[in-house]
Parts: sequence; structure tokens; C-alpha cells
Amino acid sequence: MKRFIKSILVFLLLLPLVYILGVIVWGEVFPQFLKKNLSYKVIGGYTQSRLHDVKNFKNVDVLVIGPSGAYRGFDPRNFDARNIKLFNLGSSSQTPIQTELLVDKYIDQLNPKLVLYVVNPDIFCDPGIESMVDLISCNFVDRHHVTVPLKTYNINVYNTLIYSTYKSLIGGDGYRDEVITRDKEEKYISGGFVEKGNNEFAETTIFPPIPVSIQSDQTQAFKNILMELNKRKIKVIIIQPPLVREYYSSFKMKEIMNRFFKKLGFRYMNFNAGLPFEHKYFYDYGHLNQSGVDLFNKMVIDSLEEEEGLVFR
Amino acid sequence: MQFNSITFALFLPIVFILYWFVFNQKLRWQNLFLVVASYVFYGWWDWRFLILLFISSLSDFIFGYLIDKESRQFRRKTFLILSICINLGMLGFFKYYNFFVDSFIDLFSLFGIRLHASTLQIILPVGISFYTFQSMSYTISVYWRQLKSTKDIVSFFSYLSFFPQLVAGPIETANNLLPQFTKKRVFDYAKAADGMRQILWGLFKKIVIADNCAGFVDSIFSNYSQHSGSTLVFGVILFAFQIYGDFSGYSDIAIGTARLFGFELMQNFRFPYFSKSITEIWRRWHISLSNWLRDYLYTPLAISTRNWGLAGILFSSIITFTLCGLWHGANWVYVVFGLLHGLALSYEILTRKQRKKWSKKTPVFIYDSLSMLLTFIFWNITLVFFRSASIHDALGYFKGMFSTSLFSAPHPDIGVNPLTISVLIPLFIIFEWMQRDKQHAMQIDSTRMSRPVRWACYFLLIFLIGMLGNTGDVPFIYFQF
Repeated sequence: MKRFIKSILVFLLLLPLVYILGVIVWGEVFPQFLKKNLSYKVIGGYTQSRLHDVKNFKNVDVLVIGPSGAYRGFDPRNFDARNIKLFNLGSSSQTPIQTELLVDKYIDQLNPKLVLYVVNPDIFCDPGIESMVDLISCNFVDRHHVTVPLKTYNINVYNTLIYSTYKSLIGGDGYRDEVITRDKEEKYISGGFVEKGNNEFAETTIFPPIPVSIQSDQTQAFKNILMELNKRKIKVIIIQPPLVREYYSSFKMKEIMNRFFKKLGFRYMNFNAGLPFEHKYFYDYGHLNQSGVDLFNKMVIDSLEEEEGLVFR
Repeated sequence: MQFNSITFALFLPIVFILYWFVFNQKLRWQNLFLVVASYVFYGWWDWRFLILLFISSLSDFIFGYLIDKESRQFRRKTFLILSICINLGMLGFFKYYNFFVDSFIDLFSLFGIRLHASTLQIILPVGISFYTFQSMSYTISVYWRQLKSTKDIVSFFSYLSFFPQLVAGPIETANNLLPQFTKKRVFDYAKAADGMRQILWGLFKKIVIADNCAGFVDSIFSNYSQHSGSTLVFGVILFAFQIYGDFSGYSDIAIGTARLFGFELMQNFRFPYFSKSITEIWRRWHISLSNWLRDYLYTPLAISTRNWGLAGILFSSIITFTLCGLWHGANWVYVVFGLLHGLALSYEILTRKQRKKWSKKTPVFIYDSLSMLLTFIFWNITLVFFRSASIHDALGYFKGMFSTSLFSAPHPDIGVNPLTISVLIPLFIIFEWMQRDKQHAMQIDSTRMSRPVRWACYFLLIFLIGMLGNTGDVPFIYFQF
């Protein structure tokens, strides 16, 4: 029995070392399809470009945070044309847990007058693994923020953390121009936006009902962000960008979520209520094409100027 | 509590330490501790399930005792029937009530008669089919005088609730497992180390092979009308590996865990996809169920129909396999699955001589390879029924499969690269083929392989689980049975 216990303990002591070494070697040697749980710089959304770009921005007028609806829905050029300096810190499937990390890291530098917090009806349902891996693989996570990914208990997050730390240490994590590697129709625009072109969404997809199961750690992170922004006296608007009508209708708890956002004490704008955007303004069921973005941005800016009386410059 | 969960990863070492270091002084204490641990393990799903397990254990303990003590045949038989009624009654109510109600309504509606009977919202207790069969094996064995009834209630309860094999087998007969609870267990390093290897291999099969197939299989079967014929073929082949990895993986973890506690459970899978006939596949697939059905259903049936000659054997085979199908679940798709296997077995019985002649005329390699291929193809065809939600869906799946798009390239577009699983499965088959003579694929001769090499193998397996395993929480398929 002693021998057995001793063997197990020695094995368990060696395991982390061997595993870390294995992740590094495997990450260097094998192609991506054999790295299922190691997503180093492969997730779409131009996070790497955005985190590289953000270094050039400070004291912006508007900061946009949230999931893909943020970085695909707010074009800094539209805002710039109205003398509003905007930076977009959105990322793919970003959940409040990652938003909290991003806000914590960049709020002092960007020092915005207004934060547009992009939400959707299932923002609190996703555990945020994809977004966490995305941020880690872009070497966003430093030693001050390492406890958050460790709490995910997800092997993909851990593997990516090990490998990206190794890449940082050897200096091999340099910025790569993602424009070349991504969708040919997409283009990263300085200020955090991703331009997609004007393809129109023509599918008549039937969306099954999307259940919403709220995760308490996500709502807590969401409230933390709002409290932090409130403490800094930064104005916040919670905003639901347009989705294809059928897709929005498939969310089971959309009304409950609407009531939740309304009750928070911040202005809440839902662009899915009332007259919906037509299909021609979308390139897929969840994202606007450039015509849609231009129209949507105009409506937002008009509203900010008229209803909020915001004058930025 | 799932074997592939963090909870079990904490539960197992705690139980192991308490079992060998705290409760090792007296056998009775050790057994009692196993009962408590097993009830905690099972109650983790839902504490109400414990009531059924307790009723099944207590009733069969009492009936076993009464059958053994009684000398009058009529009374012995009455006790046995009562015991079987309690077990099958529980199983029938919790698993088949709604199925039979719906089926009767459908049947009568064929004749224009509208029946109104309401179905019930019944939760299926995890593993009920497994432990009721195990429990019945005890009273039947006592009735047949193959086994003396036990007077040790703690041993009996621990036999029936033994957590490694409680929810998905192997279905241990009382003859094999019960005596192990009445003997003092001694820790055996070699057995425990081999148990750990088997657990590791089981986890690999479940998390890397089965769970990686699951996403494709679920997507393809739920939208079969949207996919090409070749994608549907790809889907059913993946399901064959999913169900094998899932169930045999569970059995490996169960057997390996039992070995850590000094118990030897029976081998439940013996590399079934290398079978050369349907008869052989059932000697290699879910062996404990096949043996149970052979001993307690097929043999008595064949004996009672022995006057019918060959027809009696065919009849017994078809009935046994149809019920075997129904054992898997309350749905006609399982009945058809079982029936097809019964028919295939009957065909093999009828053509045994002819096939023997062919095998002599054909080179061994060609005959064996062809037999394996045909067996695997037949197995996959029947799995379409097994996996489909209804007969209608299964027929639709076949219609889609045998269309002109069968010859196009498969395109299972679910956002996951199919290359990963397409590379893993052939490597998995090669490894299992190389180890096919062993009890399990990770059985290693410690004297032939040095410790660094062995440990490198373990590290590699753990690493592959971490790098390629499915990170989602996919429950074991056989829990629903």
C-alpha cells in the first residue's frame, strides 16, 4: 500500500511539469486540428489587432464594450464624422467577466465620458470560455489578472494560458497582421471596429427557442462594472443592437431581460423593440452589414445628441 | 455522480483512504462503509432513487432467505415470482409505463377506437435496469440452488449497491460478486496499478473518443434531412465509436475502480468491433448483459421449447434479442434493434455449415477481414434505429443515406474540425487491435516495460485527454438505460 501511495504522489508531483512541457512542445509542433483545446490566436474578432491598437488611444469620448455586436456595430468613422472620438473594446462572445477585466485594465488610459455597454438577451448565460481563451491567446492576461482565468476550471483556458505565457517569455508573441489571415471580406478599422462589407442576409432560417439560464457570476461581474463606472462618474448607456427579427424572437427570456436592464437605473436602448431593422441591413442573423452599421450609428448619435444632450467637443 | 467529474475525482481518493486505512480492521465495517459510500454516490443524482435501491435490496435479501429455507417447491416458486414481480414491477413502472400506455392508445387508434389514458411525469432512476437485473440474478440463483442465500445483510446490500458498477454495470451475477464481499480483501499493488491503468484508458475512451464523436452525432441525427448520404454514413460510424467509447469506457472505469478496492468484476467488452459475426459481437459487447440473458432468459426458453427442434432455438434467440432491445429503452426503435439482431443470429445459426465451407475455401485473411467488415456494417445499420428518436426518423435517415449524395464528400458542418476525430479513430483502432488479446487495452506487463516508459504512456494519455478531450459535460449514454 505504501508503495502504491508513494507512486501516486510522485506521479502527481511530476504531472504538472510534464503537462506544461507537453503543452509547449505540442503547441509548437502540431497543426491546429490536433490542438483542439489550445486556441492560440485562432479565434476570430481581431482582438489581437484591437489590443495592439488600443495603445494609441487615450481620453476617448465614447468607449464601447461587450460582445461581437459591439465591435461589429459601432464604426469609429461614423462617430468621428460627428466629432466624437470612439474606441471599441468589444470582442467575440465577450461576457461580463471578460468585460470587467478589460475595463479594469484600460479605463484609466481611455478615460471615456460615456460607455456604451452592448448587451444581448443571453449575455449572462455563456460561461465565457471562448472569450477568455481569445483574450489569453492575445497575451492580454498579465499576473494581475491571472486569477480570473484560473477560476474557469476549463482545460482549454489552462492550455492556452500555459502556451501564451511561454510565448510571452520567449518573446514570440509579436503582433501579427490578422487582416491577412482572416476572412477576405473583413477589415479591421482603427478604433476597434471590424468592417464586413454589404452582403445581405437572405436566409429564411427557423431558429429554435433559445433558453436562457443565467449564471450568477456573470450578473455579479455586470453589476461590478456598472458600479465601477458609476463610481468614476462615467455615464453609461446599456444598448441592445439590432438582430434579425426571427432570431431575436427566439430568445425565450427577452422580456425578462428587458425588464432587468430597464431596472438598473441607467438609460437602456433596445433596437429590437418597435420597428425592427430589415434583413437587408444584416450580413448574418446577429450582425449588421456596413449599411446597417451606418444607419444604426446615425440613430445612436442622433439620440445621444438630441435626447441626452451630449456634446463631446 | 459521474465518473468523469471533479466530484468523483475527489470522492474516489477519500473513499479509498477511508476504506483501506480506517475501516480495514473488520470486514463488516468495510462492507458497511462501502454501502454508505455507494448510497452517497447514487444519491448524488437524486436522493429519492435510494428508496428504490433499498426496496430492491431488502426484498431480495428476504426472498432469497425464504426461498433457500423453504423446501416445498410451490412456495419456493411463489417467493421467486414475488421477488421478480417486485423488481420487474419497479422497472416496468419507472421505465415502461408511459411507453406501454402510448403504445396501447396507438394500437387501438388503428382500429378507430379512441382511448383516453394519461401518461405520468416519471423520472427514470439512473441505472435501474442494471441493479434490478443484478438483484434478480441472486434470487434466481438461490432458487436454482446454484447459490446459498446469504444471512449477512450488509454484504448483500454492498453487493447490490457497489458504486463502481451500480449505474451502468457490468451486471454482476451473485455467484461471482457476492462471495467477494464475504472474504477479507487484501490490497494488491499489481492489481491496483492495473486498475488505475484501466481507469485511465476508460477516461480516454470516454472523453477523447466518445465525447468528440458526440457533437457530430447529435448534430447529424437531429438534422438528418439536411445532410448528404455520405455525411449520414459518417454520422452513424461516429455513433458506433461514440457508444463503444462511452460504454466500454464506463466499464473500464468501473472495473478499474473495483480493483482498487480488491474486487474483480467481469470483463464487459472484449474489442467487439473485431468480431467476425453477430454471434461473436454479442460475446464481446456488453458481455455481462449477454450472459445474464443467456443464463436467465435464453436457456430456460430454449429448454422449454426443446421439442420444437431448431425452431425452438430460433424462437428463443429472436425473443431474447427483442427483449434485449427493449431492455435498452422504452421505445420501438430499441425493439427493432433487438429484433434485427435476433434475426441476424437466426440467420447465422441456419447458415453455420455453409459459412464454414466458405471459410475453408477462402484465404483466412480475406475471409476474416470480410466477415469483420460485414459484421461492422450490419452493426451500424442497426445502430441507426438505436440512435434515432423514432422509427419514422430511422427510416428517414436510411432514405437520406441511400441517396445519390452517398457518393459525395461528407460535410458535417458543426463548427468543429472533423479531421481531429478522423485522425483519432484510426489510431484508436490500431492501438486496440495491437492489444486485442489483453483484458483491456492498457494492460501492460510491468516486467517487460520499465517504469519510465510506462509512466510516459500514462502522461501521454493524460496529456491527450487534456489536449484533445471534449471539455463539455457529456453524460454517459447507458445511464439512461
